Amino acid sequence: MGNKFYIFMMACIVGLLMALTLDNASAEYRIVPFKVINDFKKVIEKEQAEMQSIRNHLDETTEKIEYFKGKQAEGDVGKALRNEIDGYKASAALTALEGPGVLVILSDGERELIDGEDPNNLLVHDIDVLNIVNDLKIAGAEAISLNGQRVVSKSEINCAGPTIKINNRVFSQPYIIKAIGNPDYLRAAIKAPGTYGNLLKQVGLFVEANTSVSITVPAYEEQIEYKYLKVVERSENS
Amino acid sequence: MNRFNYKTNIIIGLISVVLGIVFSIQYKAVNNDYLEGLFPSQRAIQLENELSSTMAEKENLQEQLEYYEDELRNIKESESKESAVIKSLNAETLKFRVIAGLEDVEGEGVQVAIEDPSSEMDYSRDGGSVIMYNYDLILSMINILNAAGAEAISVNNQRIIAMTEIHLAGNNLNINNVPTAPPFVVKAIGDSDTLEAALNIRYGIVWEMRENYKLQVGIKKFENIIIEKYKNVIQFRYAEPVK
Repeated sequence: MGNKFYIFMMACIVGLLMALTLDNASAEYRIVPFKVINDFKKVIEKEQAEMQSIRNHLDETTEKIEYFKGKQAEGDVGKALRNEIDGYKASAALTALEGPGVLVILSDGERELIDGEDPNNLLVHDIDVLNIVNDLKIAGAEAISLNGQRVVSKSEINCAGPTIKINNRVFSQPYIIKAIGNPDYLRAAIKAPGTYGNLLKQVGLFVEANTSVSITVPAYEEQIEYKYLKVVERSENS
Repeated sequence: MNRFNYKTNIIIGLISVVLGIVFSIQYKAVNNDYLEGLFPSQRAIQLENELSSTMAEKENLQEQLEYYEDELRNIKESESKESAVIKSLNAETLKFRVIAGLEDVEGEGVQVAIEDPSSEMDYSRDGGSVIMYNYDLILSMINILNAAGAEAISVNNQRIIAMTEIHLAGNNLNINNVPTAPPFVVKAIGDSDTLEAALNIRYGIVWEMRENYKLQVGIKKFENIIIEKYKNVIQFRYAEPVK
């Protein structure tokens, strides 16, 4: 008697579980790997981010059309264009900017080396400065300068031993980074636990970040000449 | 013990096997390694629909944008026919737009493709991406290209401008706030020999990527390479021009 009852109970459970699994396998309820879902989500996020930037452009363009039409009626398109140029100059980092922000000081560590430790551990390297600058940008920095040189898209940061080279000019320690943006976010990007700046500090380098209500970041001063680059013609483009 | 005869044992054995398999399938569906679990396809279909509607909307907006941009251009061009001053101002506008990275540009250059280690090499961190986790390699590569005189750079079609950040956000590497994923394609315009040599020097960046991180890196030189413009609007909320 007893074992027949057990078999019956087991058969019931197996039946139930099979039914559940089969249900999943019916046509409109098939199973897909999580990776597929994840990939979809990534693409959607990307498309949405791109859509948002198109929207921003759309707002900007319609606003400009209004503005230009107004100026056209006044017969003063030249002024409108000059305003536009000023805007692009600022975007191209060719204008000195000021605003709230932080001042970061980065310098080689001054503690004694532990026996057999590589002195490189206590020196500031290019990658350290690159990471700090990148962290500031993530925190929304709008303009950054390093030892008085504006950091632009084509700035190279080259720390060669005791000196640092940026925008073809050589500076020595300490490295002073100025950034304009939300001061609290920017400071947190350097000092919060787990950030690259905090890591450097723990290793023994000198890292300091102070907020300020007014930071001035100079314009990019080097001559910009393009030897290889051409603008893609519009007719080709569209 | 004799109460269970031979036949019953076999039946119980079989049922246990089936039960085990069914359990394991159910278990696998919910509890598995990262990115390897199973999901009902219904969710995938939903996401597919969402994606196609997002793409349609984006296309629509893009068309609208092109229409308005044409209108703006027409206004400016009609004015520049009438006045030489306006014409030169328009030329100046273009010059600064190029410097700011707001125009598509082309020229001689190199293209670097960076891919995660092939699956035989077990270098991945918990199934995550090596290059995404070590994104400072990309920062370093951009820096080296700049030092070698690159005139324009993009990573996965995101133009590198002064404010471009590279940010590891969860599963994505955000560049210009747009999520991207490997393989990463870095394009640079400049003297292609110099750029290639700067990347390829012994114990340089490409060597480091290949040897220390086992990444798959390929460099190609191009006589003409197109780099897309920065696609968002550059806005300043905190910074103001110095008076």
